[in-house]
Amino acid sequence: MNKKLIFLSLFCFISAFTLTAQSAEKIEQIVGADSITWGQASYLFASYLDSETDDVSKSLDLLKEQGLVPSKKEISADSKITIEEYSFVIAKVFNIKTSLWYTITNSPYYAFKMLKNMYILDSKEVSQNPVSGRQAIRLIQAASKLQEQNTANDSASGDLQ
Amino acid sequence: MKKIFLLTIIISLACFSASAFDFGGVFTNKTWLSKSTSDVGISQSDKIILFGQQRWSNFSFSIEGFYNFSYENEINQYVDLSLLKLNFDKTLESGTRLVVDAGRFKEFDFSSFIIDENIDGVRVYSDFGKLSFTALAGYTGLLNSNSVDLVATSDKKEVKTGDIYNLAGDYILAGLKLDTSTLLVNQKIALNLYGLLDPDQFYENRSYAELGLKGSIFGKVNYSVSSCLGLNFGDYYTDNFEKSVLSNLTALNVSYFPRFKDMSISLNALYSTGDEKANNQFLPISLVSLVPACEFTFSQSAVAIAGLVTSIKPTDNMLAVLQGQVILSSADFSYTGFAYNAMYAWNIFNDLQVSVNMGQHLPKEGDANMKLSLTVSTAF
Repeated sequence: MNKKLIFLSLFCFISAFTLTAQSAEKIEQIVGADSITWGQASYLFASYLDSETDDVSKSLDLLKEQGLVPSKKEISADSKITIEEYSFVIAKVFNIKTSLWYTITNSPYYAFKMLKNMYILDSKEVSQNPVSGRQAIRLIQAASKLQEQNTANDSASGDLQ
Repeated sequence: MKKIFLLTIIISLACFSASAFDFGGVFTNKTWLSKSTSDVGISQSDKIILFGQQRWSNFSFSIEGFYNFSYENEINQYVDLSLLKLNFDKTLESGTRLVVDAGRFKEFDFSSFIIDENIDGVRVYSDFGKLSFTALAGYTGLLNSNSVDLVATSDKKEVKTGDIYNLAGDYILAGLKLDTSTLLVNQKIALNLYGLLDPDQFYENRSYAELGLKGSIFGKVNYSVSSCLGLNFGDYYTDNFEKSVLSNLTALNVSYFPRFKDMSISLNALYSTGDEKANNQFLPISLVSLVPACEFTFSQSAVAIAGLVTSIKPTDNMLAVLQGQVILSSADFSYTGFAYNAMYAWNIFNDLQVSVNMGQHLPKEGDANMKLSLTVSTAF
């Protein structure tokens, strides 16, 4: 059953990104993880952003350089990422700003609340929960889908004007 | 004793820090202008709600409290705990889901016209798939009468307001609810039984039996119909009325969803018996405000009311609601008034909402009342 889930998730992810055999192995490791690290999360985002980096530490550095991780906290590639921190990176990568308090405070907690209000995150989710590999990919897919819908709506209203 | 108390606090804090405590709040500011023929007044209320939740496997603990400040001719302020609940939720190997709530929680019946109020007690819900079953027992005497609308007829249960926390009238509530969706396809049938007992020598008691049916017709139309029989008993009723007779509340709702901009059109009708001379006035457990612009709580007791409500979302973050109501006498269905209400809400952010509400109640006799309000609300 687990294998089936892994391959299903992998299939969905591969359909969104072009991967090398080495990257596919890394993604498979991430998908199977019950709680992913900052390095693994960064690798997923770097892959989404079409970065050629194939190293988890370099992926994290890339995210740090682009200001996509919380600035107040000391973060290492091996440390576990919480759902509120992961929400923060999603909000940054997909430029989501639908919360007043997130816009003012720029904090992971309000990024987490914002994604909850948008139904990207389950209402039962707690801010300090770990992020599983499958959940990490599902959240990127949900945010990506929402971005596509918004772009389509914007261009439709642009056409009307 | 002190040591045990300290130890309990330390263990509790350790439990909360062991896994995450989810928390948040909502701040609401409401300003309204009300006008009757003789009087115009501006009022203001501010409410801050704080809530938190802790989960451990099949258990969760939820707490929600608020502070309310209002100025309507005079300053009134109060605090309340609207939720303080320990919850157990588990699906057993047999497929049966078992949910137990203990503490302070909201209880509502099939139509929400009998009870839609907080109680302190225990509630057990079990879902067997084809049949679900709820049993509950609770007490109302620890609630804050400033924030609950319990119906009490005897002077002993007089509602006190003015202090920051006033204890509400004391009743013992027992309830039994059965739900099934297997007898008719896509239709849910419910039987709700409630008993409201006066702990003071059973002086003023009420009992309710409600049968409800709801479901979907042709996919676009939803309906809900319910009828409740009420019986009042105890010395209060035998002393003040010649005999105990049955009272009734019947409610109907038919909603149509045209699948255009989340639009909905609903027809509502409610009838509840009531005659001052006889003991057949339907007395619910808690009051619901049926006419938003009315200067007093226009409740579901001794009234016949029919209304049309339509709502639409012009954009994803805006909502418009328009409703009109015809109010009739429950004794002979003669016309007693009309009310309308319009509301427009705009979610500027998904945690910041501004809404404007305007309504008027035009009774056949007496002064018309108008209410215009502006509400700003933010979740943090």
